[in-house]
Amino acid sequence: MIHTVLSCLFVIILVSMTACVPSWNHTGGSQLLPPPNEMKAPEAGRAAGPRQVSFTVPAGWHWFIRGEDLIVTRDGVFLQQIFIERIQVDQVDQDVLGTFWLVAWSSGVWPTRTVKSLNRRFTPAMSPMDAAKVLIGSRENDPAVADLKVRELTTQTVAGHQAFRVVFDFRLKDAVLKASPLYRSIYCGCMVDDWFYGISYTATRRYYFEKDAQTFEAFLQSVRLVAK
Amino acid sequence: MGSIVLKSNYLNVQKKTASFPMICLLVMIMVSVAGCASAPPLYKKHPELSQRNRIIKTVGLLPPVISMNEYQASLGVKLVPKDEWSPAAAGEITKAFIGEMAATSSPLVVIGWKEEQDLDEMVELFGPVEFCIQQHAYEKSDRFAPPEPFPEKVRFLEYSLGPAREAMARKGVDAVWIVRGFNNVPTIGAQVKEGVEFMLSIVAAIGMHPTPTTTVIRINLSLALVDKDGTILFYNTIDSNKIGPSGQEYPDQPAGTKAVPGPGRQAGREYGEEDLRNPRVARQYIKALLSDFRTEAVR
Repeated sequence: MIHTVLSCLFVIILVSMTACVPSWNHTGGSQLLPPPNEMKAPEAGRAAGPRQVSFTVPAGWHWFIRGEDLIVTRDGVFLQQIFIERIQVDQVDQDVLGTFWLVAWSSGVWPTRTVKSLNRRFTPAMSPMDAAKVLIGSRENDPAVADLKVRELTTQTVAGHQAFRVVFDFRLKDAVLKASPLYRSIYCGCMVDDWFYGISYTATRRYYFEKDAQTFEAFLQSVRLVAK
Repeated sequence: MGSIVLKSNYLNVQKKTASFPMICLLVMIMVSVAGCASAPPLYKKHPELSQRNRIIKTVGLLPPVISMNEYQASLGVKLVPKDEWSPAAAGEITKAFIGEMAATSSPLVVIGWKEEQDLDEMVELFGPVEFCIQQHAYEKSDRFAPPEPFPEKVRFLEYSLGPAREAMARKGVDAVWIVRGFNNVPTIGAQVKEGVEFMLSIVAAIGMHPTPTTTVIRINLSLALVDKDGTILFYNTIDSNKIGPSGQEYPDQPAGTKAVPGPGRQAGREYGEEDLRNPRVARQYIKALLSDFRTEAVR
């Protein structure tokens, strides 16, 4: 009898834990992306640590902190997404799944991986144009990306920092979609101390890119890097 | 009457010794029954489906995109891509569609690849759109991928493939059907392997050692009706787990007529019954996909 009661209790605890598992957030407004895992923080004596990122979620959009990155979408990550990633100069991998890898599953299935595909490293005080070359090199090197075409490369101020802004088209080489539509990305990036901050908007070239491009510009304006 | 009394006594005895497990079992059964009773339909419709459908006079059919694989017997699941089979499967789907639409008053215009770039792009975009519908517009899913419901997507079907007014006008259609899916055609060896695994799982379950068995989905087909604005008015999906082995019901026979099992059948399935290149199979799936639309479009 006691065994049965304990089994039932165990099931109840499991169910309760499932309810606590993080998932897509549907609340808009101002939010804060916490600093990345301390494991990747700079060693003692080196430059300042990573910044938190504050941002405003557009109304009707959904967001999820994937590993240490932020992913925001309205219709689904394979149609449109705003993405924030922070990469330390020595970083060699990027946690894209987090603890509960089945949660917000599609965010982990999106296949591009900046850190994994780097063929050059970001360096502190790198100029925006040099940082852009590193980012473009990563996309060129990414096994999930095909038909990459850079359309525009400029600079702009993002969150008070001088950043590059690159616009590129690509297709996905990926088992999920079989035949990929054409995607377009706007990627803005800057170096702050030992950290690279990348903020991007990616959507299918047909329909979804134009539909939400203005929403991304408003989102970009809302981004702030906040010292811990 | 006597037996009823005996049964009651028996239950009373059991109640004294195992009431708590019985309650747990009862709760589990009730939850399962509730789950079955409230199973939502697989199709999704735009809130204005019936109004918009009234002004659709002519509908086009864009080229079906069917991924074909051969499901071979191996220790795990081995799927070998067979792209050379895809045109035949797409052809049978097209014929099945024409056959189903022949019964209706609205004519069907078959549109090929590279006739209109806008329409080709629509087909291409339907891949990720369908992925997002599957992930975000359902609260429950029996697919491998766990659902990620977005509340507003669950309430209404509100996805678009982008407008294609000029392209549709040139083709003389007011809307188009898009069909997409996959077919894992089992070899005889794969069918035998699954049959043996199933039998072994029954034996194991009798011996109180239940073991999980895997059944590969043979066929999955989805379709969408898209208007000139690119709005998806209706979406439906079906797979072989829901429709069962094909050949059980012939499209040209009266509804409900069952095929007579013949020699060569294995576990109720005949080689070729799970293959969209078989006209009978293609017709059965298209018929099932369209039946919900016929009901919903006139509401």
